[in-house]
Amino acid sequence: MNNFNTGCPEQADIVAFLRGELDPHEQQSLEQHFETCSSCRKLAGEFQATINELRRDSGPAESSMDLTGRILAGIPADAWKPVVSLNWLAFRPVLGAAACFAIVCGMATGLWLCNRAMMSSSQPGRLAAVKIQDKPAALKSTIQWLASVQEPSGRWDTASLGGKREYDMALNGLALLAFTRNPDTTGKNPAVIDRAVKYLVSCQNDAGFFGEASEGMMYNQGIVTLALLEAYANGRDPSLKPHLDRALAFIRKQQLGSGGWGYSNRPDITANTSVSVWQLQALLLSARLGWDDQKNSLRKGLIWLNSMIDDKGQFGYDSPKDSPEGKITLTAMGAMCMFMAPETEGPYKKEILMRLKQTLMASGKETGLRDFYRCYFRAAAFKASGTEQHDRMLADLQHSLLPLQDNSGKQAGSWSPNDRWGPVGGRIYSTSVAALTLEMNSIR
Amino acid sequence: MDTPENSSDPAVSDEAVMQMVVNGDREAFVALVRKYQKALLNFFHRMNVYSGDADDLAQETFIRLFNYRVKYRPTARFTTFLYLMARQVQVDYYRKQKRRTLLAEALKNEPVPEHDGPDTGRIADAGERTGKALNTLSEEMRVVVVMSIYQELKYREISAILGIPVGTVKTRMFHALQKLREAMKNEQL
Repeated sequence: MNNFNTGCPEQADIVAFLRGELDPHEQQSLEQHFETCSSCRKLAGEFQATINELRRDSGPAESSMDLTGRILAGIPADAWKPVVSLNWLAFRPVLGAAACFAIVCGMATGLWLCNRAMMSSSQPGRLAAVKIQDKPAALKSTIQWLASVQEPSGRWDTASLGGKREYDMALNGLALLAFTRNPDTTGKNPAVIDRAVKYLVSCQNDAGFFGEASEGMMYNQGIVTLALLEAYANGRDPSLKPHLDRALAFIRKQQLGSGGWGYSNRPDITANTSVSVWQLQALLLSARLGWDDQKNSLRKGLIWLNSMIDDKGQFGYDSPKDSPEGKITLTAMGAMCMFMAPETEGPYKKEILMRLKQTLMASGKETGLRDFYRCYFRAAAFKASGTEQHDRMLADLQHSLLPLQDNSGKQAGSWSPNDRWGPVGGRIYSTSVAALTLEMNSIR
Repeated sequence: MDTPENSSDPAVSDEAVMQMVVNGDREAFVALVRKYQKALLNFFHRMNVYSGDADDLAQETFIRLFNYRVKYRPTARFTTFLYLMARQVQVDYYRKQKRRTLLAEALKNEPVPEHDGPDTGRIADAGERTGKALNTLSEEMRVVVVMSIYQELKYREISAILGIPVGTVKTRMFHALQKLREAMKNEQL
């Protein structure tokens, strides 16, 4: 049967090429091959004709009966009860029983809230009636909700909205970021930002870190420092600079010998991508704003981050192979940093950046119940990569979020924390991260 | 092709609708059945299922989809989950058909048709070239072609459904297309 064999190794890729299954690099390589190989070109034409011929057969299949009715009749009436998928628990093997219970409760609540937002009754035609705002309107109402729950002191009471206390600073930082990146459409953002900055600065201690020492302190530090840097970039308020000097010094001090960051700088702690990326974002922005890369922290951090990439172009958690909770979010986080880093700061080569772009391209669309954190970092990586295809993927991703916004009741404008991080971050987390995802066009 | 028609609200993804089903929403389930029933019937038809059985298999697939909804992971595409169910239903059907054929053989001492799948109904009315060409493929090649070309599933999805590496999907598609091209060429002569 293989009488078309031209001896070209590229031949085996022709069908995948026609089906759009090659990555951009392979696609381009084969296109170039076609320019010089008439046999493969001819074979591609013949395969395409075969596919076209097959597709002309639309198939006769139409059900001869009321199939929908038959299917529904096969399901007992009492089977229509909500179920909670136990598969979700597998995502968090390190959690204790209490935390697992919290996830189940959070999931059930989240599912119910999501359900409630997307459908208020079981009337026929309800799916067509789901109210979904367009992106600017969704973003505006998100920002309005966040502003409405800020206290006069500038604080967001994250715990009262489902967040864990040890991440209170980080969650306040995320809310502030939602405003610093927002193209102010209400005219109220400066006041909100001003209050939030004052509150966060008041929480900085002499050692330079924000809030109390806890398991989440390096998340708190990275996120708050980044948010304050963005506020500083907007207004250049000189009174902020000494606070930022101390905050950045603390980040540098916490850097581990490996070059990355962990939950603390104790000798028994290893660096991980998740914590490190927040510190790197702060250092990257500080460098752009004129801070010196003292102790070569940024450079060392990027070298460490580069060492977390496996041979498939994906990032691990604390080694290239290890990723207990999956690699999609970690890869998006790492790739975003790599794309944002100036070439002089990165030890990596163009091939690595190209591989990361291909990995992102292959990561597919967001599906099902959302992971706001993953969504945000994927959007950030798409944007930072600066390619047209990624811009389209970014737009798709943003659009896929819109149906999940709460559009009625007291929480209208916010986003239900119905993802795996919801039990940790609560509603301030989900709403801030959704806002940041929708604002991605204005990423620094 | 056999990709489903647009839903009434394209902004609501199948995965979100399936999550509603998990939450016990009957209307969401009806929406999925209406959206995908024709695609499933065509899938079974092209997999050489006797036309009189295709309705039953589509029904069985949707009931399995409902019964196994607790297993649905929103991180996976809905179509991957749906066709995983459909493939299992089809494989079970083949096994039953094979048992029936073997039983008939034992009882009547008649020859067993040399075909991986049931060789009734569909073959009898397979006048068109595409049907004949598809019949030249082994079952493992045929399912890959049907899923890719007619159901428009990505190689990655097909790999997950069939439990084979993406590279194997790619190789089977290549060899299948070579065979189909030959078969169609011969048919023209």
